[in-house]
Amino acid sequence: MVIEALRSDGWRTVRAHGVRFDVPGDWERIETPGPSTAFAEPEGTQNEFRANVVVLSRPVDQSIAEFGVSALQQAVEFLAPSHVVSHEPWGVEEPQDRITEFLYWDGGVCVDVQRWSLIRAHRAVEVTFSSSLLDRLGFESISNWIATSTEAETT
Amino acid sequence: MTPEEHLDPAVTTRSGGLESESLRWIDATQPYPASGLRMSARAWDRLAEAEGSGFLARIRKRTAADPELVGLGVLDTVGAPTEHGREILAIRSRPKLFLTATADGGGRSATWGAYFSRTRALVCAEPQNVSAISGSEHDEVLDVRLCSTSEALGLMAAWIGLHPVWTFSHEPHHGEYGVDEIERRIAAEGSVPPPLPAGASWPVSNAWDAGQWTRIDYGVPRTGLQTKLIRAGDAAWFAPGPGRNDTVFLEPYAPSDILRDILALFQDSMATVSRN
Repeated sequence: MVIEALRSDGWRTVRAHGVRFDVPGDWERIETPGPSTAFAEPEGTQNEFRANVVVLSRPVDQSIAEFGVSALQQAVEFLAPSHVVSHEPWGVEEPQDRITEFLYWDGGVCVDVQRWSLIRAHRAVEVTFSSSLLDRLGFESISNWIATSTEAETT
Repeated sequence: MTPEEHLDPAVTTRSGGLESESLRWIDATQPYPASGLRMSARAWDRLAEAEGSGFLARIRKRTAADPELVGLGVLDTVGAPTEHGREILAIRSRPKLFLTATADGGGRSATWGAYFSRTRALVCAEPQNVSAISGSEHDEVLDVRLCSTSEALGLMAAWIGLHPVWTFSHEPHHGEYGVDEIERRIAAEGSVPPPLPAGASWPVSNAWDAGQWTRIDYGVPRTGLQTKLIRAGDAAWFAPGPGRNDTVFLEPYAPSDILRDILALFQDSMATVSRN
């Protein structure tokens, strides 16, 4: 079940599959299978690729390093031609999570993918933000805030 | 990859015991994604002279490169540019912006250039010394590709060999090196590095024998915006700057920041050109 609450600051709080995170209030929820939740920017922008975020959550069964290796392998083995750019520690207080960034080329667009691998309480959470590489800087504050806001639901 | 193989012991130790996954296998898995037109340097130069599809093109003297250009579909059999050829020529001869990069290391040098119109780009990459295309038989072959702006910027990131590394600061007062020491390391072939400088920091020591060191410069000549980097094998990136007493300071540079820098340099240059 996905629960959404629009806030007065223009953002929306989303609760789904054991995690809570924020997305921009005007983003549209996209139906996805399994324990994932996806949102995309409004249709009709001039962007060459519709920016979107997918949040996937499951019970944790590996260390953050193993989680990071999985993220890297998925990036290297991506279906379209891809190129892994970075894989770095990430965290607001202690940088023990990971952020992996890779590019892929498909349909005349180079798409930039930032994937946060987070361990929150007893859950492994992937936050995957995709946009055209051209829009990468413009979406940086939004993608960072979505990742920063992601927490495990404790109730 | 087994659980034992996925960790980098040196980085894990450096991180105070925090398990740190190995990243150095990734670089070898991702060569420059070459899928554009493969063209000799001679044909590339000849194509520049072929602009104009009318009478002049048809009476222009044929060259030895013409059959190659006809085979690639950019010239027709009478020597005039095809529609694809005209599109390439239009962007190449009247770009809104030209972004260039050079890579030098181990006695090899390569250049990469992207010509941008308002909506399209033309990328021309020489064989590089930072990825899998190597060997003298390729020395004169270019990879030429007509693509979107985002594709071109992504190709540049791939071409300079941008890849993940763990980025650590130097120990205090250990970030400066003799200019000659760094020049010798860049000039050396990757497998035969000169002696490690005395008092080298952990980031420099860790990267010293981690493969070819390459000097990479990229920028937009028209706006004067440029960035200088050193790709230290598959283990580190540094931004060289002036140190004290004629030394060079190697600032450790995270790959994600390099990607940001490429994008910002492009966007700032586009904004500058559009204002002028």
